[in-house]
Amino acid sequence: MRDPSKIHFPGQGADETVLMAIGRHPMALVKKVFVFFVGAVVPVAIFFVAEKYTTWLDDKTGFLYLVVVLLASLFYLYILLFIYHVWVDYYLDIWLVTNERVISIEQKGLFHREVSELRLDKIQDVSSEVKGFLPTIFKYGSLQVQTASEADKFYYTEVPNPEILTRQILELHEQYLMKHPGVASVPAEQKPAGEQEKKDETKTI
Amino acid sequence: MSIPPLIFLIIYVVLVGIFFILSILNFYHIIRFGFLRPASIIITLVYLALMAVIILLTFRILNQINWSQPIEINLPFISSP
Repeated sequence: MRDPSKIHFPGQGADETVLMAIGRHPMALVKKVFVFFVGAVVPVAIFFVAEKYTTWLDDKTGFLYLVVVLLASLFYLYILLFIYHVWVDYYLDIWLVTNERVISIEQKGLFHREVSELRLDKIQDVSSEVKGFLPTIFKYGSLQVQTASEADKFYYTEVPNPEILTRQILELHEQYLMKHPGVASVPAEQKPAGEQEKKDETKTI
Repeated sequence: MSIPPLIFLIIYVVLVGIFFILSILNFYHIIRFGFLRPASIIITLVYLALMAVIILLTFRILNQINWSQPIEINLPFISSP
């Protein structure tokens, strides 16, 4: 989790404090860049095989050597670009939990950014799920926050320690209701892990 | 059949130019939407360093090529008559 005290966002209220800044688990990044790292080894292997077992690359001023070097250079530049872009996409996905609301910010590609918010008093259900070998080992999973409206659900995947975050969000919800007693809302309930409702109208993040 | 190697260099430079444009777009997003922290700055600097290394290494490897002199297209798997 990132340091929330250093985060200020546009539209932040005067009395609004960022309490949690939740980014995706690093495994979300590792899973995506792993393939690129494996692919980066391929040209090196081909080069060593060609250098050792053939005479194709003996002429350092020849056509084939020139083409191979330029292609390899472009290949590595674009792999580097794709890895950086995956990291930017990972870095810019964040959930901010303030003392008033939950704000989800998701970067979907270079020219698509989705920002949604949910007031703490509107929360009805909070549930978490950890499913799979890697999520179990590295303790990450999904988090779902639902409001009274069937259409409004926040679904955040690859979040670190989702069970802990579930409890923390519920505590903030209850604190908000205590501070604003005039707000008419039924206290939210935490659903047991593994029980999830349909995701037909869910905003998946 | 011979061909001036400058053609390949031009194609390479054009593709590197596209690479730079896409890189600048990513920098823009990090600066505008990212919470600039030491980690993001370091990763961006590492990215720039690796980019520079690849490009400089490429030109160093191809230092021996005379770009104005046509080179013969000799493909090892195609035997000349």
